[in-house]
Amino acid sequence: MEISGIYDSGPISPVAKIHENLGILTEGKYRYFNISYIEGLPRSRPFIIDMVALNNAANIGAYAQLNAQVVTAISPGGSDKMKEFLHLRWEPLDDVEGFLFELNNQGRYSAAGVFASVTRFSRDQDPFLAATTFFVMGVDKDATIGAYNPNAVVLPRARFVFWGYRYLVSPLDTKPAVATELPATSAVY
Amino acid sequence: MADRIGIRKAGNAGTAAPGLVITTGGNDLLHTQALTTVQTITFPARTFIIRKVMWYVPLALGNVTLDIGTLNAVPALVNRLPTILCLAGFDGELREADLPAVEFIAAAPLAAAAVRFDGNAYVLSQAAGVAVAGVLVAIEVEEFGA
Repeated sequence: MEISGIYDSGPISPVAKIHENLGILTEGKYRYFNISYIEGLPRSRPFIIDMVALNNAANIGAYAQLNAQVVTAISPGGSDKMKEFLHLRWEPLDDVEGFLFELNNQGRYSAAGVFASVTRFSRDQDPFLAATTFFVMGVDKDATIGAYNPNAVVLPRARFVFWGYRYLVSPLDTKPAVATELPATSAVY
Repeated sequence: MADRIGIRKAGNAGTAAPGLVITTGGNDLLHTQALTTVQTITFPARTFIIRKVMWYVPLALGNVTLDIGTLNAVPALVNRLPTILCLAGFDGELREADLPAVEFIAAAPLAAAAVRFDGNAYVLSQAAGVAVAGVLVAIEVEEFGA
């Protein structure tokens, strides 16, 4: 098994090369895929999501949270034979905190009963935001983002920006001899 | 304090618009602290330090003083900065280099009543010791926390 090193402190880079194998923890166990293609998703305007707008809300209230499937930008596509797999990091652009859920109710970045969030301060100790790394696999396993306003005042915006890589992967019937196993994707039971 | 990295922002209270306060003669909110509630206990999640104060005194008000502080349990204003004398018809400012790094922080729930400050920043404008309204005040704060 290869070590993926996805949380190493440094800029984001692909976890494996084209034609290498990935073991992805999804639906309760590691499933194996071969990588056909990788491309970058640079940090850019189309990958900025405003949770206020996504909720059709006027604003985000003081100490309020808005949740939504982040379908517009980071819902991967694919079929049974070829799936899209997204490898992302993210941070808020406004003074809000981000919570990540996969399959709507699966809180990520958590110890028992306590959920960490991604904040404007996260860069202080983690300049490349390696600890915010997450993966989204296939269809109907989108990420749900919760935006929390820790301020005592209403904010008009709750924007988050995402960047990373997009992989096209083909499922393998059997476990290959060598694969990079990723300890995180949607639906970690 | 200098090694901590904070978020710079304008004061989040305002009479006219967020960030710009026109005093009313009472204790006017300049900046409200970020708090968090976990299992019924409210914590001061962040603190802040005022990094800049700007003001303008309309000529008709005469010279005024600005008292900047926080509210105690009474609630009454407790100065956190020395009183600032502002001349009628003039604007003025104090920048980071001029301001002490006074950290505004809310009291813990069980703190003694005398020190149960709410941690928010307020301003009181007075002329010859009598509260007056109409002074324009804006502050910039640096918030610390997570």
